[in-house]
Amino acid sequence: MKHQCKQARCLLVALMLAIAPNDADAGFAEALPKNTFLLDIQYNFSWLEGAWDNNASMGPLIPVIERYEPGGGKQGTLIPDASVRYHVMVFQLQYGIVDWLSFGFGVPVVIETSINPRLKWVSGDFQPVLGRAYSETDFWQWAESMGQPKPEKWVGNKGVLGDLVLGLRLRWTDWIPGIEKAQVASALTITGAIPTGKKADPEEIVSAGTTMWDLQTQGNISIHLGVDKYFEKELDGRLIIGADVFYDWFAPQRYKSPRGLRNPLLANFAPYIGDSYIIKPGDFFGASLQFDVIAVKGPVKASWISGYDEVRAAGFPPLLTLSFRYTFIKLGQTDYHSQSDLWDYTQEDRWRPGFRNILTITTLFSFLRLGAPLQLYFTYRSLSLIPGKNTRAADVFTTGLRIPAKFW
Amino acid sequence: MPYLNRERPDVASILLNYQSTSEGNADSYYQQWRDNCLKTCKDSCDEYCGFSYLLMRDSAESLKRYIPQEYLDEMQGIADGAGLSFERVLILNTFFDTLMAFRSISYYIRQAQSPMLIQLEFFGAADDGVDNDGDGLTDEPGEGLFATYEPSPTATLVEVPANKPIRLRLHDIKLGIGTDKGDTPGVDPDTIRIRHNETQYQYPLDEGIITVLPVPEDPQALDVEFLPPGGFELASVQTLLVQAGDFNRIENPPPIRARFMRDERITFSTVGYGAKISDIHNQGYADGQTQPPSIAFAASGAATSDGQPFLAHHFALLDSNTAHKHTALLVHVPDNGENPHVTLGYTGLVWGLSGMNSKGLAWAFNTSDTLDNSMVNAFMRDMFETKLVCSGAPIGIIGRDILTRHDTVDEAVDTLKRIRPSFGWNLLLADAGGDMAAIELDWDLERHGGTYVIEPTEEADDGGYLGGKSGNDLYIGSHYIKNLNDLTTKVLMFQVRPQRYWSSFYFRSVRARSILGTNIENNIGQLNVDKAIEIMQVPDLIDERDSMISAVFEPKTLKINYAMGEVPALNSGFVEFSFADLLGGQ
Repeated sequence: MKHQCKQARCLLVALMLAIAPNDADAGFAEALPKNTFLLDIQYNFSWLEGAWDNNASMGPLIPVIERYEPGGGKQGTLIPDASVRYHVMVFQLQYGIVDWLSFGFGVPVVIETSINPRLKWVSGDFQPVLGRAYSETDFWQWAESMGQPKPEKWVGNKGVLGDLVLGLRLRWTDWIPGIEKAQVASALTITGAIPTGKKADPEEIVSAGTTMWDLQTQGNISIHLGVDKYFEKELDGRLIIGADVFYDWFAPQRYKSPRGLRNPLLANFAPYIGDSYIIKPGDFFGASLQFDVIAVKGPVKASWISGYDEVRAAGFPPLLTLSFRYTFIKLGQTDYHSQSDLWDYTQEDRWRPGFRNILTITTLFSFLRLGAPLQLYFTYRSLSLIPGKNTRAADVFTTGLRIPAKFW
Repeated sequence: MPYLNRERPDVASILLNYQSTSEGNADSYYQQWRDNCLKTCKDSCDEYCGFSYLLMRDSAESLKRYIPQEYLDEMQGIADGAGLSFERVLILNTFFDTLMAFRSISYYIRQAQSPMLIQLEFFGAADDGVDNDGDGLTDEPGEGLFATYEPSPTATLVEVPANKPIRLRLHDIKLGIGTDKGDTPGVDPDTIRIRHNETQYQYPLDEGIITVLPVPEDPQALDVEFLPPGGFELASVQTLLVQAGDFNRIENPPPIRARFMRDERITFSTVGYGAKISDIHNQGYADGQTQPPSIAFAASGAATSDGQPFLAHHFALLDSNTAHKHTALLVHVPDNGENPHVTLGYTGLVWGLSGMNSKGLAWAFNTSDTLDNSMVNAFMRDMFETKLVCSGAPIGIIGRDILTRHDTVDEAVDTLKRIRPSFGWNLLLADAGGDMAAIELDWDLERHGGTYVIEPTEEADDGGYLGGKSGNDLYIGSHYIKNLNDLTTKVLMFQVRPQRYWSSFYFRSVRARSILGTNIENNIGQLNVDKAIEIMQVPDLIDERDSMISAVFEPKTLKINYAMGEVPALNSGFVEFSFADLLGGQ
């Protein structure tokens, strides 16, 4: 038996990671049948309010900022309680070159990103010149007198392209005679990201880009080795257990240093770190375990899709599939390279080695059996439910539709 | 630099060259320069076309005349290596001198427009049967009344009645020029705060403990009577820290605030305590607000446990969570065979806050606020048309010259007597022969001598000690103890007064030096490098916010123990550097 993407859940596993953890896809080893196209359009909404710190405790997304008055001690502490929202569309097209080799192409487009810094203030030392410690109002009046505005909510990336993703999946077990009897399939998936995303504006205090590094979901090169175990005989094909190990490599990226053009007090590093600096993000190494449960196979209708063949229609994906996935990712140390070793160190301190624990739940409705070439899916993916370490705790909701097609 | 830009409105209210279009003067020196600068500026224009950059640049250019070519060449080398302009490296190397001189002027002007403590009266001192002021007379007329308040490093009065209040007269005037022009004079009673020992009181919350009384004959004055609940403790030392603001609400630069006076500290003893005035230091208590300034001390001979001289230094002024990231120990080896030497400073500087040469001559400097400085001299010459520029030898360059060309304290002192520094400084020198000296410098505007040398054995006029009590130790803070009348004159409506009347460092330094002196005295005969480090770690001597570099120099062994790179510097732990080993390896 060849597992030819009968549930139309294929190469997109990797592709869609590019923008949001929306694995509305099961089967780590499934590939599209030869000459089959699959168009996938999805909308992702992610929200991010905190990060897991080095003690695996939930902390602020942006580190606190201590403000000092020259010779006058501490003015106070700015505590960002940042809230980030991403709205992203992902357009993907896959094609089955042969039954065991599929090609995919993903185009992520950010609809909008918003970051609300929600700065809180804790007063510092008593200032004899003022006759009091700086209140929040005092501080921002003081800051504005030196050209530093209070950071407000930032909204941007409207219609901005992310990094394009190309991928290939090779189901190598098709070459092993008799493997079908074990009801096991395995595939190697390789994706690469083309750096078409936009880097964050260095002059903004709170802003975000649309590159892989900004989105923190997948490397510039990603290699997956997946295995699916089917239970056609024992459980009438109602369960698939999949496992995947993967490695994500991030390419070093050069960034412009902030020069204090808009935020002279809070973002003005160029004088001592140089005009630009390089970030080499820590690579990802991880594994996933997934259970696909066919909750409702649904009725079968002979239609034009099946060539009015009811038996053939019965081989189409079930009406309702539920997927549960757990993913563990080991995060490598991120390295900064500027003219200031000390600055590099302070930045790297925020991106120390850590790990992620990710839970994903997907509900997939497929209407192919009923004669409609359409699938709808809804996914919730969370990094906030199980503690991680040195990682952002993003949650993502995804909804999408898929249209398979075969023209020859 | 952006911080200094905030001072421009105050400066421009007096000095016409620094007015801008916002003051209706588009043709001023500053505005013209700024307009031209902005035409060609590509980035960081607020910084490089701002008031503070102009101030620093002009002053650096002026000070350049006093910097020997060899040091200018070093600056050029730094500029070439760092990809910076020479102008910016020159500014960095003269930053301290300009900043301190400018700060003293702006701070003094600000204080002149704030409330002042002008009179002090201890009720009951004139009829208590005790000689409270140590003048040999008992209950003479006016005993207990200080018609003119005098800030003091020691107690103001002793053996005062514990159950009688103290009356403080605060006074606030407004000047005919400056940003005060048109403002309402007077002390706002609601801003009065009095810290008694370790308890903070404020009016009107503590009305009754603090009593405010108008002065009918002088509406610009306010009498404040203070008596803590139950009176002052008998037979004890008592300290008051007094603060008040005026009725004004200064809006530019923000935040909106009143003008506040410097915290004035008054110390006295109550009946039964027994000590004389000179034995009670005006040390006060940690107030949770202010930090100790720079300190330094040296010892040799019998004061030490091993006979080895040392010089210890802890410099504190300005870190702003930045400076400590750039500390550096630099070894200088002159090409012409003069003394190789080490400085402890910062990247980009050709000098350091302290240092030692191959002959074992060690030096350190502290700031010492004074209006007897080159910038004030320029103002007295050109008045409203003056440009704020320093002249004279920059302090760091003085240090380099001493370390390069001299082997002993005596040689260095001879040179220092001939130098005209840009500002006020307190220096401490020690050499391998065990000699040491403290030197207080000012610009010597009135030509009465600007170099005050303090020997270890020197006594003060009141019978106390200027040098250390053992005769083999010296310790300095950031205030003058010998140059007590650095400048007293009148400039326009400004009554220029000595450092102790206005410097924000003064009371902090008096306290730090007192605590330092006590710790040294308690360890006479036991002093050595380890003990020096232990003394510098006394919490009351550590500026937790702006500590910069700490070091102990050993002139005989040419060892340097330094702590830097963190705030406070001591947090980094002391690292031993053997200059002798380095020299031996050459």
